[in-house]
Amino acid sequence: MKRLIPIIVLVISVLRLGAQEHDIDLTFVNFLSKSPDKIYLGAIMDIGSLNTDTHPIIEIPNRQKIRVLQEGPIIDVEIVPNRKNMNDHILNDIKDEDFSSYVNTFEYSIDAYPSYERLGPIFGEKINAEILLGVTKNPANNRSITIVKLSRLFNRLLFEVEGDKIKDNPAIAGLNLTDLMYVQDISFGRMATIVVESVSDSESIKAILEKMLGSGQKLSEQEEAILANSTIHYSVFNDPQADLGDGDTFENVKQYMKGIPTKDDFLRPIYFAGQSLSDGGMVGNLVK
Amino acid sequence: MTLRNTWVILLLFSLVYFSGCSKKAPVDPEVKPNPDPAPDPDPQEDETFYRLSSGEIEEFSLYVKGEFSAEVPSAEGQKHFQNRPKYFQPQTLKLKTDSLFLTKLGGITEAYKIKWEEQKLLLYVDESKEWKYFADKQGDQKKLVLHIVYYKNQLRNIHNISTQMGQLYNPSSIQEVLSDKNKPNSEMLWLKTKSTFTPEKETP
Repeated sequence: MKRLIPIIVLVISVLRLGAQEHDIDLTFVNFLSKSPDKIYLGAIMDIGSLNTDTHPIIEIPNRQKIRVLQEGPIIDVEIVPNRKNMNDHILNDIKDEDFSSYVNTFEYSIDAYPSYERLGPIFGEKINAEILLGVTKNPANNRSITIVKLSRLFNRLLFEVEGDKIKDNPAIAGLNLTDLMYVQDISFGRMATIVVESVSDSESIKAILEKMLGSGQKLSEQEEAILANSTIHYSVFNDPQADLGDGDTFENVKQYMKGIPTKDDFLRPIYFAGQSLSDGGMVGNLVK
Repeated sequence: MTLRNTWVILLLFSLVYFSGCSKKAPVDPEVKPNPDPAPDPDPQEDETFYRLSSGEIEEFSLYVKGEFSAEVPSAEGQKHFQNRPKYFQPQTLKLKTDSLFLTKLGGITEAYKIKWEEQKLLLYVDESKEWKYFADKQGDQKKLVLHIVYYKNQLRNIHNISTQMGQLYNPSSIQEVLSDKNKPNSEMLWLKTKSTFTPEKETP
């Protein structure tokens, strides 16, 4: 069913633009969900929390219904915004889905970064590499950092903010609207990263990773040796039950990304975008 | 801002991005010594050449939350670490005055500044500006003994799973790769090997 509509590709291209220009500050509009078990369509968040370790939701009682938008056939669905209603809608939408018919592929990008403090462009926000990637310390200065981002998005929900009367809700009265955003757009699916720290330069590592992910060419003995002398961090996001198993972790991450989808993949928030409560503008996050 | 306006902005971004992209041809990997390339030792000067003569596993353990949990059968080393030990293991060591030159399979080379503290051989680590304990002279002082640890650390946090794979020369303990924050979520495989190097006449 739901093949991603072009806007997703465009948004991802903006992320990639940032990933290749490390030395300038850029504004991003899609953010990795750091609290995937809490977020829901129409939730209210503090914009300032985007760059913190978690994304707390500001619960507002007595919300009015919002109209749900998604790619594919036009639907006419309104829900009171909360986690359960969002998930119920998704489950109802995919109840007749034949997951085995999905093509077992994923998107990936490979980029080099000068340090773990500068990974913001990959995620659309500042991240804590110790929490998110398991990095215990920064590598030595002479080591390159090359990152593969693997993603596979299955569905996307949006809603029309116009017409929502939340500003009239007494619970919002004491809050500063310029600090707040709607979660207006959520993409669900799978995401992983592979980070290689090496004494070899990033161009060499990129060429090796491209062979392993793309062309499928056999690595030379020297390339195998370069990887074996590197430190590698593998991470799977927002899926604490994922099993990276024994054996070759690189291959296991690939298999995780390619695996037949389950309903959980349609319920797992990966990226989201926001709209300001004060002026209705799309929320941008300035990161390096 | 409406969704339609957003579309337009994203489209413009994308056009700028795609028009500025060009594919770069892959570059053949090139190995760089760590820390900086050092000149080849002068064969005229006094130097000692060592070749790997034996190796054994000293410890293969599972540490959970930073504490020893169980021994792991040595036969499982290949399953967890594949060819890491094969390619990280130094094959030859060349000591010359205050320098060490290492070679490994696959054409990997490393060069370090060194010094001796009695039986201990120490490497100078440029980044930390510290001397790091690397290897020992054995009793008869004709052999060198090097310890290497290969580790695989799986962290299962509330939302994410991370697996870190790496290796260290002669670490003092697992604390060298395990932070306090990550310790409660850690399951660490710790494979410690002992390699013995015997001096011999260098052959090309």
